[in-house]
Amino acid sequence: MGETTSVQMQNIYFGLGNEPGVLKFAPTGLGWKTPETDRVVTASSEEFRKIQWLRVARNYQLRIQLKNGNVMKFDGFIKDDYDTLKDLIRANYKLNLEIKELSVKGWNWGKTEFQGSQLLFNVGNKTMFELPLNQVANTSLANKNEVGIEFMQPEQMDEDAQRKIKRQTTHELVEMRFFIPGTTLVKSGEDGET
Amino acid sequence: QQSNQRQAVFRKFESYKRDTALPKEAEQCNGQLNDLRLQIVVDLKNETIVLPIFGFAVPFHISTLKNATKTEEGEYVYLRLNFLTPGQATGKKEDMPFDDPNANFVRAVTYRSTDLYLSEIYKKILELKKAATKKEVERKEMAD
Repeated sequence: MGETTSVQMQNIYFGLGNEPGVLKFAPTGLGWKTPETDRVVTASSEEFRKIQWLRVARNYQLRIQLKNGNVMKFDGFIKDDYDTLKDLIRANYKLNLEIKELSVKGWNWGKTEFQGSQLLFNVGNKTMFELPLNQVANTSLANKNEVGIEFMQPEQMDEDAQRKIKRQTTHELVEMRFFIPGTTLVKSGEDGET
Repeated sequence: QQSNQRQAVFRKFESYKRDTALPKEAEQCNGQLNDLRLQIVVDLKNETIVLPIFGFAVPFHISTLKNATKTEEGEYVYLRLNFLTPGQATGKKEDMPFDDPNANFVRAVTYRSTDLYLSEIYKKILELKKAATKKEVERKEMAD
């Protein structure tokens, strides 16, 4: 305990990508690399502001908020990695690994909120899901209380991204529609420009 | 007797108490091509549909579901889930209760896939909805 160490973890995904890679923690920062395509992502520990742990579809996510406002997300950790990472992060980076709880109540009502480049859907004080705004292809107003958001599909992405996705039989989210009573929140949402 | 005074009261429901209770299918981590983690999971036991939304495993309790439709277009199967929200002019009486009618609601989501398993999921969702509706009717009869 307290000694800085290096640790390597396999089958970790970066962001929404679906190529697993190796994530290596060193006292000076971290590096992630895919074995096949040699894709590399690095960050210096001096940039780390806050590190969180949360449950996601691909098991658990380590979310690193950087001082410049950017966020790095790594998915694919197992539950038991928490203790290892907690100790490692404290020893190497002098930071606490915060647990971020999500809403798993199964409700379809909450509050939409914009935070940076994300649209959050919160239930109580917990987030239920996040929509990255750079994945939005189009928005529409069906009527004054209904907002539609269409998402980018593989054919709208570059060829490289398409190739990776085509390999898998994924269920792709095409569109989401929100019912927003009142008008103030609709205004703060996306305008129906096409 | 209060049997006729059954007011429309919102019945609380909850899919899971904690995120650790999410179904196993959503946490498989074997790097296989047929990746369940990016697919819709129907959790019959907890009466919940778990949707993949930008990396999150997002549960929707069957009580929130209004209906589901499936369409086929070219190589794709489209699955649309419509959820219950206020202001829906359905044939039903409008006094349907909501926990917070002023909240923001997820009204619909649409998924598509070339995976034929999406049709299976559609069937499972209909079965779950049917069972949940039946249970609710029985519950009301018992209360009378």
